[in-house]
Amino acid sequence: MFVRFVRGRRHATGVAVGIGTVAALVLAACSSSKPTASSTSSPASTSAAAATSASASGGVSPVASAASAGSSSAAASGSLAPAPSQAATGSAIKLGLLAPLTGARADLGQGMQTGAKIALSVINATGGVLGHHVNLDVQDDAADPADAVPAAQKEIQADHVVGIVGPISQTASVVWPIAAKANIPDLMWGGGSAFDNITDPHFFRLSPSDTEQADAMVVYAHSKGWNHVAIAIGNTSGDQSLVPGLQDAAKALGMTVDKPVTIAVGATSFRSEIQTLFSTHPQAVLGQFDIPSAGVLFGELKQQGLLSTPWVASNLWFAKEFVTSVGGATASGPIYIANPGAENQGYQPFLNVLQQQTGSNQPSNGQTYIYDGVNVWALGAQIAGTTDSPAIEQGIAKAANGPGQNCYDYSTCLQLLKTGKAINYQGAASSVDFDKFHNVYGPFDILHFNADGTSSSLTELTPQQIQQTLTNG
Amino acid sequence: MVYYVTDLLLLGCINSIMVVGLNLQYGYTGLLNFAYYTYVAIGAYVAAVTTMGRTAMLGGGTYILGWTLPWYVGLLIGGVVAAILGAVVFGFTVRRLRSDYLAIVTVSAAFIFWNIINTYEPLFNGATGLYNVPNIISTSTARYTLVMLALSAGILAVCVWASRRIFRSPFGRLLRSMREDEAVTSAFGRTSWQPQLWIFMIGCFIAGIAGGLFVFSITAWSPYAFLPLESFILLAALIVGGAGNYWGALLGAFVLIEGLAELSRFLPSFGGGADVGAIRAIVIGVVLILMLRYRRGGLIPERWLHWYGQPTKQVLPKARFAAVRRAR
Amino acid sequence: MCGGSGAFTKRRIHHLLPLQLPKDSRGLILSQFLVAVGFGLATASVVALAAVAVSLQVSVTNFINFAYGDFMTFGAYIAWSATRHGINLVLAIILGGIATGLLGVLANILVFRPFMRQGVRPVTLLIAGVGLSFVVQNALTLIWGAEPVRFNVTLGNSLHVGPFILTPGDLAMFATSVVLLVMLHLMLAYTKFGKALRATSNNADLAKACGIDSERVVSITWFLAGLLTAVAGVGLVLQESTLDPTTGFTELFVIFGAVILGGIGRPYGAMLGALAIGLLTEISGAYLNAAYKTSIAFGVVIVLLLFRPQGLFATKGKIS
Repeated sequence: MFVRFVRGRRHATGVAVGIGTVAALVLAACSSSKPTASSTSSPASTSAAAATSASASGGVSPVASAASAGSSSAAASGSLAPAPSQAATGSAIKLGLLAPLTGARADLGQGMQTGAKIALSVINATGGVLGHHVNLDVQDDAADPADAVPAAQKEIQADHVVGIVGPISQTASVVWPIAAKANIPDLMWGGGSAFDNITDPHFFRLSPSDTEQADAMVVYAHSKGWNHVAIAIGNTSGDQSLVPGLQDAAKALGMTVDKPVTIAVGATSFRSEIQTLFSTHPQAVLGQFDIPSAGVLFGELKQQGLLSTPWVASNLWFAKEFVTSVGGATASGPIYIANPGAENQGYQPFLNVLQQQTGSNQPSNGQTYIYDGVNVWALGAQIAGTTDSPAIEQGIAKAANGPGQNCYDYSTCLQLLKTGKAINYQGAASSVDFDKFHNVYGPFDILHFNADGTSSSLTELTPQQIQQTLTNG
Repeated sequence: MVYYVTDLLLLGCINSIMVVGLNLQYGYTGLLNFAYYTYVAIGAYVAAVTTMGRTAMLGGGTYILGWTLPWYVGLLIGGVVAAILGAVVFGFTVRRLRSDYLAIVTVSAAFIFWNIINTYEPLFNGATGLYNVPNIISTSTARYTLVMLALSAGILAVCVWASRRIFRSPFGRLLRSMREDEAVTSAFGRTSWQPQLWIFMIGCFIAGIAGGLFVFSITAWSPYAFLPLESFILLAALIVGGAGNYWGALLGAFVLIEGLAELSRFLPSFGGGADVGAIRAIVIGVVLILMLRYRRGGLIPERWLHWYGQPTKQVLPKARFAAVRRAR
Repeated sequence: MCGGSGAFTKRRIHHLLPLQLPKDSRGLILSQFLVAVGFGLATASVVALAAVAVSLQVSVTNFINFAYGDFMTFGAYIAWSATRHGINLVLAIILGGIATGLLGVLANILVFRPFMRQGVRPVTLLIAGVGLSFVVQNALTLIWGAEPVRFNVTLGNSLHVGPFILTPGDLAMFATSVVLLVMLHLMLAYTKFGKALRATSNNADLAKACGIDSERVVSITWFLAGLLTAVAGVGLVLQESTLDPTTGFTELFVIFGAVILGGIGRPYGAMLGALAIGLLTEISGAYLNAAYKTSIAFGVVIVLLLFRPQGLFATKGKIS
């Protein structure tokens, strides 16, 4: 049927002309709508007053909201939220979430989504953000940069989100520039060292860089006198990005560090890895690899009587799954976990909300970070009085860093703000303090498991202490 | 909204280029290459490391080369490297194996390749991948998407033109006859593997170019961007659209890959968002099976002239099972 | 997540020599080698079941079904769901086996048999298998979610069995494997159905001419293959400790390696092939970077298909 349309050489030319016409049309459409495009990023700016009817101004077109109301999880979050104590009036605004719901990191996406939903349920129940109900626009990026770009573009261009929470390191490097160019904040989560030195004000990172995590681990090992260490690292990107930090910090402190040994995800035994790790008789092992592999490896260590060698690990192992995987007896051995955030006083309120909304009190990996991200964004908007840049970014920084009174959950913080006080939000995952590159860099707790799965904090390393040790040592 | 649409068109063009290249290999010649996306990845990686220099990632990350050639040179080198690798793989495998065992070999090769790139960091920075790949011209984001769209559309047009030329040439007839019955073709004195090698290399070259365009469009590439699964999706798109027919290739790319993936973003997310992705994949699987069963030519079947000169609707004729090794 | 407090799964325990043994290097290497062999046996027992299943099916239908890994995962999930409802593990495995057998029969009726009746090229069946794999794997994701789950089973502490160190779970798996394979052999050699199956695999047309209903043979073979695959799936999950929708698919190529090593379409060869590939991957894993261990299995597949597609143990006769 199609073959009959054009014949001979004109065919290919026809194709080219056709495509060229389309491109030209698009170009024409684009240049004429450019002013509108840039204003889609400025949502309905409102005054601090609770009620507003300015729904048609700015880019928050009711049509777009209505059309894509289905694409958000408004219905779902509505069913989770308790009856609102103060009704949010005014048009709804959208907060975007980019998460790997499918693909290689699908194990994280669901938890991230739930974390955002439960945070928003509290926010919407207490009046929303500046009187606007906040809908969550979840898009799947499949941890694939090729999918992340259209996902981000849809959220920004089609759904007109006022901010983006997520994604994870795998795709954040393509997403945050898109958000920055659209003039909205992006609060990502992940440790990749690629994000250590970003000066763009739209960018925020909700977890400490792997470099900082590595610094904390090395400084702690050094403080215990373990100056000959081995490194055991998984083979995912989150694990691999820890290595340069470990090596650099160890070098700065004059420690001897062995070549990293790879702990491959899904491998069924680690005999040879153990042999390599312990062949030089290190005083401690620094490591990060997935928890199922930890279960296998520690079981093998137990057989060989090698459990007396201390381990200093990243906060990947600060999870109930670790205790169940390696067993309570092993977990309460000399395993020390460097976890960002002092005491995590925001953790208990988070657990309460989680229990209330979902009936579970076992958080998934990443849930706390996204929960904090949504909260700190909402608080930032309340402080700034708008969701527009650059005020929103300044507001976020103020909400997270203070100076102000510490508060540990959204409702309390909101109350303080309403009475005119300044706040300093302390989150569930960390104390949520941004450094000058908008990376979370708070103190690190050194945690130790008890046999029953609870944990206790042995000591705390502040950023100043860590930096001082590294420069002096 | 416009930018979103142009973005989709851009991705659609790049996917189309890939499917057109795959059509040359599978549609025209019957060579089943389940590692096609690997060549796309090679093109992407090579184009990136030959143009981004050493400083793009602010010193974090190890990778080979690190030259700063102009983008078109990097793009071409990516295509050439992919073609050379294709020739090597072809020489070892395609000549010797029946299609379905070839499929297993190529999938295994794709897995191995992925594993090496993911684990051996000095090559392409391991699991973290490359990012901050430079734009081909520096301009605003909006214009850049349009520039890339124009470039991709242009390259797509060239590929389609080349496909058409090949299809109508004696070379194309030879390929089709080899696809249908290799024994007969050799009986007529045509050596079978040289034309197949050429077409395989051309297909891989196109894959490499598509990869280069991809990486310049999204400015990043990592092992997560080329999971071995992606090759299956390309093949499914080709078969559903219509193997052996470049219009079918275009249709498959736009409808199955782009349309299905992007339209599903507009669906309400019920349950967990992961469900939408799973349903999408199920739809692809079901459509593929149905298409194979009831309309093996695809939505736009290939039409070719029977050697008597009459057009015929028959597409891929039946063939009985053969031994693992090809008949020589 | 599954897995209540207090219950944990224990993997195979691998044991380098205890430190008090004399450091005789040759003895060391030999013992390590034997331990690797022991571990290879444990892997092989899981792979063997699945490989035999694949071989059986290939021998009567002459094409490779890409969806087998997902059948394994399906069987494992059914068994897991059963244990969550309090059903005994052995019963759960049987349940999973039956369910997967039925799934195999269903796949044959809905997907493969219509193609085979049409007389299509093998590559079409392969692609149909790929489509089926998409469907099954994602259906599993829809039903049970993408997050990994765990069996609530204790495998016990490791024992010394000669020069090998294995857990009771390993031994149980090994014993189950052997029992099932022996039963299979008895069936193939002595029952009427077994003879019909062998006849069909040798020459389907001739078998039909002798009055054997080849389609029924094929159906029953699919059921058997599904059954074995499910048991292998559960065994795999008990070894790996976690189960998610992609578990089976990633094992698929190890299984293909075993099938091809033993000769495609030869169930007895598949048993030996599984042993070979189990040993090969474990021993090579002892000396190479473990991240490349899966690549070794794939490499084996490639090398074999290129240079010796009839398998290591081939005798004269039908290749496929």
